[in-house]
Amino acid sequence: MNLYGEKGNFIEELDPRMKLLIVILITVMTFITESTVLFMYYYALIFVLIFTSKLYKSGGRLLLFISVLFILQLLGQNIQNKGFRDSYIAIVILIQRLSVFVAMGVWASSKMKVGTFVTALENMRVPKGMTITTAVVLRYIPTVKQEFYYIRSTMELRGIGLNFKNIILHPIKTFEYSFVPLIIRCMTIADELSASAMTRGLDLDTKRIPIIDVKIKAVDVVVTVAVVFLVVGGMIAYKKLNGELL
Amino acid sequence: MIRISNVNFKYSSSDDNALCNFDLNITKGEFIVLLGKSGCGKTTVTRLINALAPDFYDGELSGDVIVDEMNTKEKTIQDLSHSVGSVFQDPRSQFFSMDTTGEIAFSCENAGLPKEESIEKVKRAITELKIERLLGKSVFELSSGEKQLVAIASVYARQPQIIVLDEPSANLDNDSVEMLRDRLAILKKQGHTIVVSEHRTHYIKDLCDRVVIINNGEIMSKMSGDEFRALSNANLNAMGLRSLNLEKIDRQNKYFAGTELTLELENISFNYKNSDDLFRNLNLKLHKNEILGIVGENGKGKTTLLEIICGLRKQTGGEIRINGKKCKAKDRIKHTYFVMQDSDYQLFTESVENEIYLGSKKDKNYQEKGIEILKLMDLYYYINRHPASLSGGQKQRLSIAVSYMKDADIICFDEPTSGLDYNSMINVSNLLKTLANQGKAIVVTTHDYEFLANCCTSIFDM
Repeated sequence: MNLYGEKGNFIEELDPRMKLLIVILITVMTFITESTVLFMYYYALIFVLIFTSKLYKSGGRLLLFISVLFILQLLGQNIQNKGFRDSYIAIVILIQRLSVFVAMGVWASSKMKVGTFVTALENMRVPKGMTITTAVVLRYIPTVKQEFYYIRSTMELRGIGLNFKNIILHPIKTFEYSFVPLIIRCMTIADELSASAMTRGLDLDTKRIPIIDVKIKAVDVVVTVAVVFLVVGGMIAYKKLNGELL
Repeated sequence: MIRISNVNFKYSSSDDNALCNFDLNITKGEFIVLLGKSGCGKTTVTRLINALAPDFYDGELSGDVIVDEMNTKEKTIQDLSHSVGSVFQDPRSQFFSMDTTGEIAFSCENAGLPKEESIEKVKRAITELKIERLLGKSVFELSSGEKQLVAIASVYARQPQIIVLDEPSANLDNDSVEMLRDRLAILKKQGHTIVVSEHRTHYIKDLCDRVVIINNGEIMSKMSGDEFRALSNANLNAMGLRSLNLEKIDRQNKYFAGTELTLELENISFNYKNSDDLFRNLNLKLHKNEILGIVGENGKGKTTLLEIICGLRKQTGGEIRINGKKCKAKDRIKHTYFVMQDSDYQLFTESVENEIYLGSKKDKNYQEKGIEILKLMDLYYYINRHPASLSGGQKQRLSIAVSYMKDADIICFDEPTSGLDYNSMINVSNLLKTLANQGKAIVVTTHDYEFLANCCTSIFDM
């Protein structure tokens, strides 16, 4: 009996710790870089990761989104009023940087097995409380979309829909109406999930033994080293070209 | 196997005892069904057995609960996790993994069993419970019924002596309930001690060895399976319990001849992007005062049909008319209201009063009208309460009150009676009849045959 269905390729099956390392490295580097060229280069790397993990649908959407952001940034150069232009570009760039978190989140959480993740964190000596909290959060993220759909539907029916007009005219109220039910649901789910996890011995003192090995394989190291090399190497090469480094 | 002696239990959040002088002995291999109205304390009994009360749900416990020779007062939930497996009501919120295999292996992994042994146990659970086809899937692709089977497999893999289930059928359609019954039969045959708290009993009537009926935290009666099976629907209903023999229920409200047409669906089709038709060329007429029940298996698009009627989705083909006029999705939103199965998604403000005025037209008499509706829905007393602090039934009525304020002609209900006891189900049924008598047209999706027979004037099978 094949318990897990088909195995993914080596990028999809990358060790969770390595994934975490890559996520942290790329998000930090994209956030601190001031250069658009370097940022675009990093984004290209992110798309390589996303598409090799076969996340075509979310990848396509992200590609469209980030392209629009780059176009908006270019168009912004033509704004005459300097004050307005600066704040406009600052906002666009901020959204670009923040979108990296989403992109990396999509990549890292795909094919993620919660059991493996918990064990990986345990092996890294992360305190149990934190591991459990992180696992609950991870488990909740994919359901948010569905939950939010129900809430939006009701908002439509009650004439307080989440549309452009209401966001502009009543930003705080609209925000409140979208998030209050979400938080209440989130609390219920977290509570029930914890009860279920406890009856199944999640915080037993015995060490967890997962049914799939959680070991860092040679291929994981190779992939990670390659990504680190491309990220850091890209930055050094860029700075050399610009004469910032000797 | 389980000895509950002279137990009193009070949740810290409540003033009244959830259980009083409760005595129950369960022997090895017994199949026990706990029955009673909502809030009678049957869930609390299951929580005593897996030690969630008072370990997780705080409260004061007196008396002794001995489970597999362990006194729960001296042990933790984790200690008991080797002996007791628990399945809960809502399959959405008891899953920890995102893949089925990981979920089934979860308890074994936590217990620190050697890898080979865990794999062996997982495989055994899958084969014996006949769920091979669910293997290696994402849990988000599963229906509620399938999720419940995986939850059972996950418990079963660990091979606990005792398995407690808290309303496992509450969110399931009829086919899924059958699947659940088959699996429970397997567990029983293998000698597990099983405790089920339920409202719907027809599916487990042949499995139960003993039935315990609980009322206000006290045992009202204990009877053998045979004594229970001999009870008539009327006996059970009088105790506030659901009917056991669904085939003996007559439809009450079936004589209806509508005159004023409210809603017409003509050749309606729908498909999600890039997938096959969910349904095609569907025709439907709904009159003023009518209560139309929509039945059919999960996955046939019942809820989607309601969303289309309410204008939350656009049909991919066909025409919809309300009061004789062709209506686009945007206009349908104004004439309709959708009462979801779970009202938590539908309440936004900090008091009952604000809730009904939110988004409604503020004309001259709106406050009078609001108060009148709250009285009708039996909510006036709670006018200043926070909606989140209301009970499930009260939240549902508040949601209905909102639809009244909106003057919606058509009110859609999605599974309004799932997980309700007999009296609450009759209350919902009566409420729907009241709405219909006041000139509303009602569409309701349901798996609950008893409810359908009680109030629907017509039935549409998808």
